Amino acid sequence: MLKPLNRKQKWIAYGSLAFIGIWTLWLLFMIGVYLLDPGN
Amino acid sequence: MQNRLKYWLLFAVVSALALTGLSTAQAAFEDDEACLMCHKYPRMGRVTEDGVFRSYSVPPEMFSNTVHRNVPCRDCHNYIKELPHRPVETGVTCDQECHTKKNPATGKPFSHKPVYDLFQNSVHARGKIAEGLDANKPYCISCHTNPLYNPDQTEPPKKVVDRCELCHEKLDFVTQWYSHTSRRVLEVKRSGEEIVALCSRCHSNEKMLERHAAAAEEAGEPLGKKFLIAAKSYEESFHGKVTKYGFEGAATCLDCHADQENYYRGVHGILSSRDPASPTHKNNRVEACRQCHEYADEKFLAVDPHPSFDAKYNPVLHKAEAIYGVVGNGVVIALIGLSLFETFGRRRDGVGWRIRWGSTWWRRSKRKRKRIIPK
Amino acid sequence: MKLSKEAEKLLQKCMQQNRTSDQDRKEVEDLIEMMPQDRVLLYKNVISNPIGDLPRYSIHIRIQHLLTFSTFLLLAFTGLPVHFSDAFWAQPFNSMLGGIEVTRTIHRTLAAVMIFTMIYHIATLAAGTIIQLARGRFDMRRTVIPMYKDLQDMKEDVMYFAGTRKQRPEMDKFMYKQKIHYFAAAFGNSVMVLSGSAFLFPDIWASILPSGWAYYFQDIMRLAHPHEALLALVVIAFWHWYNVHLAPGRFPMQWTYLTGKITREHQIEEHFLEYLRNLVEQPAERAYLRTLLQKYDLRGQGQLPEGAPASASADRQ
Repeated sequence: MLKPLNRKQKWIAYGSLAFIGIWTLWLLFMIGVYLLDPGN
Repeated sequence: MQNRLKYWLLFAVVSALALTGLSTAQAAFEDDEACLMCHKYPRMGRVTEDGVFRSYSVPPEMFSNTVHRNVPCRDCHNYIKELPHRPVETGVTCDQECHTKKNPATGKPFSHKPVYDLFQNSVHARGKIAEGLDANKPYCISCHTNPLYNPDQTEPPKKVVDRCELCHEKLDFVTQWYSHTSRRVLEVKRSGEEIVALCSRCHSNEKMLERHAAAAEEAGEPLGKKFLIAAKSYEESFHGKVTKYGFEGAATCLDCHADQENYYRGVHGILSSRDPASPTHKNNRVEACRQCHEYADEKFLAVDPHPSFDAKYNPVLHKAEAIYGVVGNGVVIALIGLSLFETFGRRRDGVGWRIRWGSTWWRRSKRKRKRIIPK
Repeated sequence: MKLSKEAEKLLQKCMQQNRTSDQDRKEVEDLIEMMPQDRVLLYKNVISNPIGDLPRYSIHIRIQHLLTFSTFLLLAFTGLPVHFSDAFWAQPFNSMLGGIEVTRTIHRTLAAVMIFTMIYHIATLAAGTIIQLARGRFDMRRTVIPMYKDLQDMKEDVMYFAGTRKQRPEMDKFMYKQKIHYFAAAFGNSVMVLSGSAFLFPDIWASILPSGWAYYFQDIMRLAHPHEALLALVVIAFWHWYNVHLAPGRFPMQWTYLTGKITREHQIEEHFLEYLRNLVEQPAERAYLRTLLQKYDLRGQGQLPEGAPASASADRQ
């Protein structure tokens, strides 16, 4: 049987997930700003 | 006698003003001619026939800090012969000889005439009162206000003062001379952003541009191909973009359109690109580009410093932009669509978002293939 | 299971290339005999270490990925506030770095690192190919080069997602999705380098290009640079990250980019042909699979026995 992710592995996996999450949020924010800009 | 009394009264008023500290500048502004008697009032002015309020107010606390503060009013406003004066026709033109005090270096009275003459040979040339085509062009004061005398520093740096006062006991003198010279050294050129903003005041004003283009067409005077979008296209250009955000290394309007042999001569004498003497004339362009682009040659001239993605000016680029939009959006939609479809398909077979028992395949499959049970 | 003709050919070639001994050949063939016809049963039942079981990427490829993604993100991070310098968030950002000039300098420096990574990558591929050729182990199907089969795989896979196929197609080490992504990235990077160099050296480009081209070239490059960058960013965020982080089965993260290893489950599901090669090349994998197959006796199974419970507690044993 497979052992679940250990503490360190969880930090790495969820840490990178958080990282890309923040990036994606920033991207979404920018897309939002771009779409809401009346100049476009 | 009447006149004398008037002047006495004026003197009293002006002295009172000076005493109450209205003019607090170091070089006190003396109103010997009593112009401020009326012109000091903030609401001083008149409503023109067109219903525009024209202010004639000269706030002494401001004027006394400007470069012209030592020039008596009537040195320039020499048509004022009496008080109250007659309606002004033309007013001051900038080619007048001014300072009565002669220039100690040349012995001549000071004047802006040499620059004025340069300007009169430029494509922008116009008289102070102008009509028709010329009315859209700038006069001296369109670009030059009456600037502050010492905008950066109110006091000269201590090191300078310390050094000067070794010999010059009067501190006022030191301050004045410091400001007089430092002003010319510190403010030799406007920043790139300021230059673009200055030119854009007219060259981005669509009403003005259209009016001028229509008048030029009527007069049979040729204009540049991109006259109507000169400022706008510059802002879209690489030069324009980096200049806009404070980078001083990129070309501004004047770096190409003004002759650079003597910058100050060049900017006042801007010529049409069709003039063989203009740096933007087709024969001179390589040289103009080479100021920055070391390897610029004839071929480089094809690169457009005023690019436009407008179908009217560049249909190819217009289409290219449209294609980019379609392709970009299409790719994104297709890929996101594929991901969702894939997830949907795999979910139906029982994949989950959590790892259990060493596998992510643990949900019930809608394809009737459940996970095998260990024996 | 009975292998497809194609898989059989590939397996034979692999064994020939690896000079597999007769005993090992027999072992592999026995294992394949014991596999269920429905591969789904296989990848649903193997036990995988989430950080990976089978080798996939060498250390060079991992370093290149690390360099590429870090420069890519930082390039986006410094490039966007230059392009959208109008936006309200861009100016404070630029001032934070020390002005737009600093942002641009950082951007160019990172670009140099990215170009180095591209060269490093090409060198790795060239060296790897030469080594494999010299060892007589080169197989075009194992590379990222697109082939006609990829189109068929894509069609078959879409049909599986739609529910009209029972299994996913047998795909090689690089499946169609990865090939699309790889070449999109390669093309995108080249466009970025080309257009970026057009910004830096407009005069040199104009003197190299045939006369008249510069008029369109420069502005098309100016158009391409931000468009390509935004496209890449959106593709990375909404496609690549979804595929490697968020997709079920990969959540919370696929470890391949760190460990260079892929899980068994993933390998069998999406890269079955590569899994066959793993069986040839990795005796340990053969041993694992043998134990599993003997324990469950999946031979000849296409369907789950009727009425078998799938509840969690029963699964746990």
